[in-house]
Amino acid sequence: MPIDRDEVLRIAALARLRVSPEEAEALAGDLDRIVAHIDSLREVELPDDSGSLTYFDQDVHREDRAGESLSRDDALKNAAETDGEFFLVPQVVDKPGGKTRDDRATRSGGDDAGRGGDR
Amino acid sequence: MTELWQRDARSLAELIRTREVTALDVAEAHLERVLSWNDHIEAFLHVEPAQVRREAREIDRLFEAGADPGPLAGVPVALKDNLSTRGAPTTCGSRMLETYNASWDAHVVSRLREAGAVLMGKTNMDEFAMGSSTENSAFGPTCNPFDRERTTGGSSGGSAAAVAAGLVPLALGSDTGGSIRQPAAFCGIVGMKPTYGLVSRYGLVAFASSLDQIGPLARNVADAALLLTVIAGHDPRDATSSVRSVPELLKGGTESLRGVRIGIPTEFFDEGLAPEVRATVGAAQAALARLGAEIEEVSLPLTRHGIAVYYIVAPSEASSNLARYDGVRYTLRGEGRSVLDMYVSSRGEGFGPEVKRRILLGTFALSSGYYDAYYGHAQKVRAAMRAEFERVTEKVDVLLAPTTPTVAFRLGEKMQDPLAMYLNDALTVTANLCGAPAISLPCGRSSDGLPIGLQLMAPRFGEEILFRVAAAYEAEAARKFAFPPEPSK
Repeated sequence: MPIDRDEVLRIAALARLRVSPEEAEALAGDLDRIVAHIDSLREVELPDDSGSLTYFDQDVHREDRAGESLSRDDALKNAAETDGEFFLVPQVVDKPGGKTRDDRATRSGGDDAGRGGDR
Repeated sequence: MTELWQRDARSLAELIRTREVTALDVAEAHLERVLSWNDHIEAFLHVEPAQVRREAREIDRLFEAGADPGPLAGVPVALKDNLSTRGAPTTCGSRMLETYNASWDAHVVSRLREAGAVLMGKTNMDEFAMGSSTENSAFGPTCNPFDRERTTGGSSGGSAAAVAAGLVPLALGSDTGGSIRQPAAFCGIVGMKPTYGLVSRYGLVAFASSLDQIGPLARNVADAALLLTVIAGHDPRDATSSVRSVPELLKGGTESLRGVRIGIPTEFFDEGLAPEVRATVGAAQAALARLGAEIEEVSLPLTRHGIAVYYIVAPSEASSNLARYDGVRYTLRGEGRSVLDMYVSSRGEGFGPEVKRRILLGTFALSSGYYDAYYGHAQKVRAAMRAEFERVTEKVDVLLAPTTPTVAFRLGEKMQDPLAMYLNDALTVTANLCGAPAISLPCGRSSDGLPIGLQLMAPRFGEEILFRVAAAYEAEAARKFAFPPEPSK
């Protein structure tokens, strides 16, 4: 299927990627040619019993036990913004009354980057 | 007299072990090489001489105390900059991680430390290992030591150039679609991608997790085997790490290859192959026949679709793996009034053009309405390709092919044409898609003096036969590694 500038912008929004209109134009050309090449795969006919890919030769289980883990300082040390305890991100939750407070003090714990809230 | 930097890893380890030289002497000789070469080729992104000397002195201290610091005691090893190294930068060649310092060692880095290796520094690479020329590094390209107007290949181009120019005897790279073997071929050295699961990926910054493997680069087959022996083996921190025991990779002297069956897959000798590559690899095939190997033609028709499958599977996995770079935990953050704005601007600023291209390609292939037609179908073709590979390698022990269709291309030559760059991986992606081990070793030079690589592939966990055939070829063909001429001042 052909890929145009609008399609690039649609995918870029899904990928949370800022792409300028000029970039989108160039990317549309590149992706269109790449996808045209990839489309050759559609001609490959597979036997019905071709099965699916198994990556692993082994079942992997371990005990549900806490192991070694990063210290808080190590976990925070590469972050752009912290308060020494948490990652800081721009405000995500509206204040009661519907107005978004204009500060950058939302705290975000661990992996759940987008789900922080005021403490 | 052979200079220390000219010696291979095994010879250096022996000289240090017998105390004919100190680990510090060896470190100084290689630091001097880095000083005289790195500005010309940009192989290393980070070298911390004081730290290198500290590690070398510690090895000397252990020897003086009567301890055994391990099989690589005092041997300098370079690390591709996507291998997490505690206390050192790990940038992945990206602005996104320009100031990132890992808080832990990758499994392979811990193994190197336990083996007594001296870590020389971190080498240049295509951003997040996405590329075939090291030109996609945010910090500038690495140049081929044999012709500085040409690429080293990629993405492990810094590691390959550092080994070829004698800045280190050994280096680690990672190989997702050929990223160890292709630069090894372009730089005239040995590069090996192990069976998927043989080496733990713990601490390797993820690109495409079902394809990524860490492997050795060296100037001869035995050195590559030594380095692989140190890093291979089970690690519970990588769920795909195999529990099989690691085979003994080199069992001594050169032997005849009588009884060894070598398959020549016709699809790897298609019309796109440069005539000099075809002729040189043909001569290598003849050398193996002289050693007693039985040569037969085989066919792997599905491998013709390797690039199409690879450029669906790898970008899809990458688009998911790179979702973690959101401006929160990893250094670079863009402006944004809302969290979403901040994510979007961080990723827009932090990633270079090729990484964006692949994230978009992967997001497209995984998106609603396209998933079955692209990702789902590609996985089925991949499964069939792997079944075909396994059927063929039941009848032959090793497959022989060129590593690359051409010799090293010129810097800038393919940068405006991503598809042409991708097609350069046509001969290497099969091993990754099938999880199989493969090695590239030098088999001659073009009329311009540029190295040509011979590729051998084996069935999964066939490292033993792979190294046996490679070592026998190396001895028979007497393809001694030759260093590039010194850069003019």
